[in-house]
Amino acid sequence: MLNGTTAEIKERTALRINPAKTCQPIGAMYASLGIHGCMPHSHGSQGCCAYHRSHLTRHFKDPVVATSSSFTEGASVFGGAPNLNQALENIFTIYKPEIVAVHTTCLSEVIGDDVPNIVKKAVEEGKVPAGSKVIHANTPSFVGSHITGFAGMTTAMVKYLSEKTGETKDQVNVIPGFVDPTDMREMKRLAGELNVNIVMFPDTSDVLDSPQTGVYEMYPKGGATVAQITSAGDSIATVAVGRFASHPAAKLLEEKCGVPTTLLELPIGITATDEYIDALRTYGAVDVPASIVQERGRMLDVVSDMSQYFYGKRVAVFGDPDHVIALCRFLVELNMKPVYVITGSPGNFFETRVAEILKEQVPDAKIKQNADLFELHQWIKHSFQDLVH
Amino acid sequence: MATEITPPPINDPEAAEAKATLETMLKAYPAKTARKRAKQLLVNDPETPPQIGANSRTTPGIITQRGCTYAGCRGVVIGPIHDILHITHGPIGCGYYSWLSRRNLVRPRHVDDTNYLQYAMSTDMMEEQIIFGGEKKLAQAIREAYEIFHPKAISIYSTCPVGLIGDDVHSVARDMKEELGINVFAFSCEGYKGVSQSAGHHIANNGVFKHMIGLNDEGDKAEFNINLLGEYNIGGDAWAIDDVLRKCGIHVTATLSGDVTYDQVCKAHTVDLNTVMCHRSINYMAEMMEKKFGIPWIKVNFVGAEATAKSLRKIAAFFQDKKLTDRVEEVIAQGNAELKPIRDEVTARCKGKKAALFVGGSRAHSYQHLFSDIGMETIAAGYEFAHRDDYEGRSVLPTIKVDADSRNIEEITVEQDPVRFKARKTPEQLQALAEEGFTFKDYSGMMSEMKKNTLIIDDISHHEIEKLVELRKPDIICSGIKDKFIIEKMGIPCKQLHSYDYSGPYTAFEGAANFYREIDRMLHTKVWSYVVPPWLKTAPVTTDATPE
Repeated sequence: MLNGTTAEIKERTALRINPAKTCQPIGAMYASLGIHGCMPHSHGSQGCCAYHRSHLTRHFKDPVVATSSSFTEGASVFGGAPNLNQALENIFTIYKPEIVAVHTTCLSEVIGDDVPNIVKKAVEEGKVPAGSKVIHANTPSFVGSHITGFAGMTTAMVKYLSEKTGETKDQVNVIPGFVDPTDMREMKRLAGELNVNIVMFPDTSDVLDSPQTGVYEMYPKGGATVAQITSAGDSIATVAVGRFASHPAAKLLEEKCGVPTTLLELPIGITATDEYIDALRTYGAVDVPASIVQERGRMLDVVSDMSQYFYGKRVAVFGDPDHVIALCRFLVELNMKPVYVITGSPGNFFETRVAEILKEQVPDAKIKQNADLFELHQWIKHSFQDLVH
Repeated sequence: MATEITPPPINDPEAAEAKATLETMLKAYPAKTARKRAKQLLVNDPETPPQIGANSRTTPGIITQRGCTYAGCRGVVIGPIHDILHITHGPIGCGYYSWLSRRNLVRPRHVDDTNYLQYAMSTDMMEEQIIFGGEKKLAQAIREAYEIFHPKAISIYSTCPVGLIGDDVHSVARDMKEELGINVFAFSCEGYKGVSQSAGHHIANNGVFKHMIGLNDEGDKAEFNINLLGEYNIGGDAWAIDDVLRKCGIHVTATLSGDVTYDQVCKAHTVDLNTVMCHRSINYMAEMMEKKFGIPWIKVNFVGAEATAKSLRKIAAFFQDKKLTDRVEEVIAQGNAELKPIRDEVTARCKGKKAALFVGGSRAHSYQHLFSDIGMETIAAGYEFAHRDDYEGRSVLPTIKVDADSRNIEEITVEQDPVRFKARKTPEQLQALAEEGFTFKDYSGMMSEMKKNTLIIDDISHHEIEKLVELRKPDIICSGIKDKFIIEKMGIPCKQLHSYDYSGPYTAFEGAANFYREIDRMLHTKVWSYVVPPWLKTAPVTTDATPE
């Protein structure tokens, strides 16, 4: 398997092999699914929507519905306004969502479709029912990665929906990052244990891990409601979890509504989870309950029981930047040695931060952003050669 | 918003019910959408199949199964060729999503060969290339790929931005072919072309014909030498067909394109007969090879026991050789004998159950044979991206109007090869075949083989699936991954016919047994019966009724 991968590494400036990232729109689609009653809409060729739905539904083994503007060659020349206009009419008439979240694709970006303008016209023509909303994010596939798309759509939620009434609400916003529904549910659960009210958005728990009841619901019960996202402008603070995925939205919330931001790394491992608990308990002005202390203790017990198997082990790590940063922290806590660390997403901060995390334990670690899995495998094959020779 | 489907039949309650179902589906649509869909939702009549509005543009916002031209070209037709490199020219997504996401399986021919399908390659176009052009990056990417892998050939696929920014991928391919001394060719398969994956098939067929077919005239030495066209080896389908053909003494030079090598494609023009499995994706190749090289073609179907027997007999009949005909009968008898116990067992449990199939451009038809093998009835079916001939039969080809969206898909002019054209049958042999009722390039389409008053739904939408389940309650639906979990949330099993739910093969006798067992499993999985918990089935407990 992968016998075409050479240990000899030749520099590549043009060819990407076995990417460790994908493009923006799927990140935007995933974020959109974290809004309750939302229909994600892909403004581009129908291939994009098909691929993104397929990828997500395969992973979660749960329904992923989204609509497409289904551009043809004509639309690519004359613009996609008629497509989006017709799509909105069909979506609201047939599928009746509370909100449609439009993201763009390389096609609609290259031809320069002005989505807000197209939507405005559709509203004027009565294609959008009163009380329903349409938000949008520009998510060109040739910029950044899928994380950029997630961040962009989350920011769009703030831009379009969050409002400041001036009356501070007893709640903390949590932007959870590009994590799984179970992670989101767990972060909410901890907040619940702490008795701190949070508004989490996006929130795909109970959307992409819905139960089997014999009844199909197009809009499952989960997801942050429009009302909740609106109220985020009045929260005490925002806990943005994951710089790459969550900081942009938190920043806008601070600029737009004056909600202060605490930027955290993903609560993976001991110290990062401590930081998450600490942030919430500070904002909520509560004590940490015994239940959480016990959970923490059980986790430490596993680590100490298993520590002999972790100690000094060399690890190669790849994934999304926020995840990899947090994982490196955890691996260091376990006395492991991340020797090869890559992410597919671009961003120099990744290399700086990971180097900082690893500087004591693994000063010679190879760290690279905007990398791919072929290169990582070559590093590994190359190191086997070192051991053999 | 009621819209007429077909002229109301007289005294035909089944037809009236079918019509009512379709009209209910249309009710939810805005007027323009309803008018368009009304041409794609039909009540079947096998004797005189009604005209269907197939291969027309997708309605925006309707939630379609369809994908794009890039997928049809790179994903379906060319992708399975496993000893050439496949480089996607575009932003990273297209290359990423088509990376091992289709189960066209491969067996490298020698232990040291590399299966290139494991590698997703892309020029990962960024903003700089969108603004200033990506040709230089493409050329460099090809160079870098060659430096690492030294392949026999490299294939390049355009994505949506490429056509818009004007990168000339064909010119880059020509330059690199010269520079590297290997075959390098490109496909202008931008996603926005055509209306679905189908345009990608056509573009792919053109490219295979232009750049690969005919490069090697040294054919395989075999008495009965055929190609298997439009067979992608999903789950091992091509291997199962190969096995049964080999038992008969029939040699397959090239399968287009399941588990095929570059060399095999290059010599595909040396056979005596082309057999076509998936009519939609490969009929272009069959026609072009006949025109240029004189190779006749027939439609076959190895999905289903009866269908497999029929196809084997037809291939044997073509060769007009008694030895072969007798051998084929032996193989059929043996195949059926081995299949009988499992077929009888499953039929007993599944007989009378109802199936609906909405998938692809061929499978929605061919799989009906497997269901009828085990006594199951198909109540509704439709393709995702097929054309009118796949529904109504090839006889309607002269009447098909190519609309604006498909007009730009190139039809290449093919002429008889001055040296290599060779009629495979003499006029006398053709006469003898005709007298036996043998027909070439015949495909009478899906509708002629479905019962009267069944529902035909082209490019089915999510809404129509929901309504179909609600109104007609099929016992199983065959579809793709995007529908699977939606349908199963409704408590109905859904069999994926693109991925086979990661099983297979389903072709020939061996595959038929697999499919029967799969359907048996899916229809009789206990989990569906546990959906309603006991406390919701009985009366609420009162305070008097405390357990002992």
